[in-house]
Amino acid sequence: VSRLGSWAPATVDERLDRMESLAAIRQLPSRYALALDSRDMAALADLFVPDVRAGSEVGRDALRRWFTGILQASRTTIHVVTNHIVDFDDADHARGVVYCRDQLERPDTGRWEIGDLQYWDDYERVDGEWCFRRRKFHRWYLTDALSRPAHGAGVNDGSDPLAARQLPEAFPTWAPYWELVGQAAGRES
Amino acid sequence: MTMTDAASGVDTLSRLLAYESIRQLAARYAVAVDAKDSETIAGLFVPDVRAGEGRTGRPALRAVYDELLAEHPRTILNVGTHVIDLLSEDAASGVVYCRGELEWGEQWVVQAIVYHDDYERHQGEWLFRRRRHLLFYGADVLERPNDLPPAGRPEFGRGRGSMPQYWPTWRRYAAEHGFGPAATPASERR
Repeated sequence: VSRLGSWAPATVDERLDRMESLAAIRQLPSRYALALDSRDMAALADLFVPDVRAGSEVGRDALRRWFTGILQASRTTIHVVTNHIVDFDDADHARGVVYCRDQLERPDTGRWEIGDLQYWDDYERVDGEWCFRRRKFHRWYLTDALSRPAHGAGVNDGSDPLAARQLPEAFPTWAPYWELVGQAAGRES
Repeated sequence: MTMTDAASGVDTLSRLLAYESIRQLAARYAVAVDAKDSETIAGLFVPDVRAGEGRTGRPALRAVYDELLAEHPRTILNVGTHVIDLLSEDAASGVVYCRGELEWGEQWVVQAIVYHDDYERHQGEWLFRRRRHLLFYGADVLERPNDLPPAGRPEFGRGRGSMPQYWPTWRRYAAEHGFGPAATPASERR
């Protein structure tokens, strides 16, 4: 497995195509953040595949309506995207992990929420255009700007419109690591 | 696989190089600001850059930055979200988010910055044509941004800036859908 995933391009053209795909995929999380924060609902939905699943419905229109609804809970939103890894499965499918630090102004409570989260992404090229197939959303915490972050603070306590899994426990490597060091500690004692 | 993009007419390798060079511009600007390196900053802009008050050129821009950089002893600029739109072989635009930390007298100010950029390729090199520096807010690290007064002009300081209202899509959304109930004034909050 290469540093860009399991897919091994066979030709120079394929390698060049992979670089173009990488450039396009790296734009997706930034465009998603900008579309959210500027409330550009059409641009946001267009980043997903045409047959995207939106709850019990399917399609970009349904997804746009869903986003339009949940974004009313916050006024200013700020999504600063940083770390982004990309794994290609083949020429038209890839997966990614994206870090994001988000800020949400809550008019109803007067709070200013600050959080750390991750997106676990599936990307797909449809008609030559790279799109999100799916974004899964996981969180370390979401807490008021003037309080100290704590493990699990604000994760699925109802203040966040999206259902998130708890980080770092959501990493598949997390529990095995602690089992391993736990066993090591047990041997020493 | 198409070697040329129909929309911008730019070949594949030039496009890849454009993305990488433009990403480097945003990062190099941040490092140069934090390093108080006004010569490098000015060199990231086109030679005939506008430097305000009718002046143009890199030496004039350098003088502007020398004054700006003196205001805060320590700064830390962390660049994140970066949208790049390639418009032609030699022109592009972009939006860059930046978390700034500024030593400011007794305060430690956090800024949520958005740059709206115009890029231009000049003699084979991608450069800034123009950077618009806009704020969501600037606030001491122990202040909640909600109730801050408006930031001054230009928006280098503290207070609520012109983001996100600057974006037409945001204004349209706010007019059509609004947001949750208005905040309780801080004085009435428990």
